[in-house]
Amino acid sequence: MIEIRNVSKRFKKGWYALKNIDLSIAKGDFLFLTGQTGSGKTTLLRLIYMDIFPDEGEVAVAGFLSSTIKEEEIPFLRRRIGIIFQDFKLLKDKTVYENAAFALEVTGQSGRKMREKVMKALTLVGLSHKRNDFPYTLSGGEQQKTAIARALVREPFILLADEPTGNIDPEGSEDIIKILQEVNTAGTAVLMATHDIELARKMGGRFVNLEQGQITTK
Amino acid sequence: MTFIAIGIMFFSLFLLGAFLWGTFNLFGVISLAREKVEINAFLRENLPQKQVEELSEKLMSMVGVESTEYVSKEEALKKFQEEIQDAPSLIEAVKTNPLPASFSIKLKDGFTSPEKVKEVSEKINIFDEFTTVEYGKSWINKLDRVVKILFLFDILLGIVIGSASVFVVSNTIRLTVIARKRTIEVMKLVGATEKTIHAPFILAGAIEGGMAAAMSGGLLYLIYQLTSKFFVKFYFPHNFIIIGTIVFGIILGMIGSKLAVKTTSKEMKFESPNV
Repeated sequence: MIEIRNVSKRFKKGWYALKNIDLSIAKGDFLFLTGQTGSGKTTLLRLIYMDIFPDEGEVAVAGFLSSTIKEEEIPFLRRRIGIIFQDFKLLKDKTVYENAAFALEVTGQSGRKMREKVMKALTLVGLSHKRNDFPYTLSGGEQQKTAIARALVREPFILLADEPTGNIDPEGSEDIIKILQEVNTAGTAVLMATHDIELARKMGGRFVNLEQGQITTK
Repeated sequence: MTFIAIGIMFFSLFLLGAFLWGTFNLFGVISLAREKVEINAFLRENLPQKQVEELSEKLMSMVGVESTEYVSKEEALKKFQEEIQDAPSLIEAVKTNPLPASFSIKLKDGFTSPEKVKEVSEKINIFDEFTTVEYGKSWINKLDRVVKILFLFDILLGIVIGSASVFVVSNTIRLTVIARKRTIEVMKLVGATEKTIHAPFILAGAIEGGMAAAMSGGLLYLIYQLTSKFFVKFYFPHNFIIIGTIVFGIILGMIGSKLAVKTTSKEMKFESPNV
């Protein structure tokens, strides 16, 4: 579903954020992307959701190729993937339910089917009882769960998580990873970037380590 | 933030509207002055009536001539006497009528510049029936200089006010867009198309621009009413100034919003704390 072929990305002349990356992620995979801050994890995720494009090589995601995709096609690629961040990116003036529903509303969905999808996602992350609460009343872990629900309402084939536990206490972090594992069990691939190699080891599963833009362990 | 944007747009559109209104009045005054431009062609003595009529027709068929008015010897004297009525001794001194009959020739728009007036009067001078052909040469030259300076000044002022308002309005709208940056970011993240992202901003821009323009049009109208009542009656083309300002305000709001949201959206890379 995702093929990264010999990809390099330069940000400054001569400075490689990523160099000669080869990676494939299949349906149902759970993959940790580990590495220190600045090792290129976020850059790799941005290449997958095509916020930036490789200088060399090619990224293929759900049939879209980085070399041929048109700007107006990018929204349709994004609808196939779910993305969560360390800073949650929730809308403060919307409730938990409204934040999750927003992902469907902006693509023209509404009505009973939309409500069902939103409630299903909120139930999965364990927040259906807090659906009418605003983000500022929630803990960090609950805010991230809201973001996960928003990413899941579209039923993506993969969930990209960029340091999802970065702003959450250790207990909450394990909770989030458990939810990601449940999401994975239900059939969605998960690619989670984290600088916490110990956490990745502890939770088990396949991991890829990045060091100065290069893969060191597959 | 919305109120600030409307306020700034109101002020900019008011300035633009006032400038347009001023320009209309300035050109009104200029065209009044230009209407006074005329050529006087003095006739030989004792021309038969038929020849005078033929001459009038010939003049009317000339390029640039708007109208001709025949002033007979008697009329010329009467006019002269009216003009010097404060000096009765001078009237008494005029025993015979020394004034010739003449044609007052008005010119069409576009033929009132010094060069054109000179050109037309030289053509009129060809006719043998005329002894002298005159036009207020120095007066026309002065008017032309004043018009050129005013026109240049008006264009410069228009460019300054126009570009300043576009700049101020687009930057103000930009601030309102930046205030909603997170919404744009999330919309992009979940796969909303550019159209869906832009639409609410463009709609809001149109409404805000329209409201600001309606207020500034209203204020201009109020000023017009007050100046008409207590000062002087200016020319106020209602449709052009009020409807024009509203249409311009809506367009300005829409374009400003579209540019602001497009720039903000393009500049936006999903900010993350790490690379």
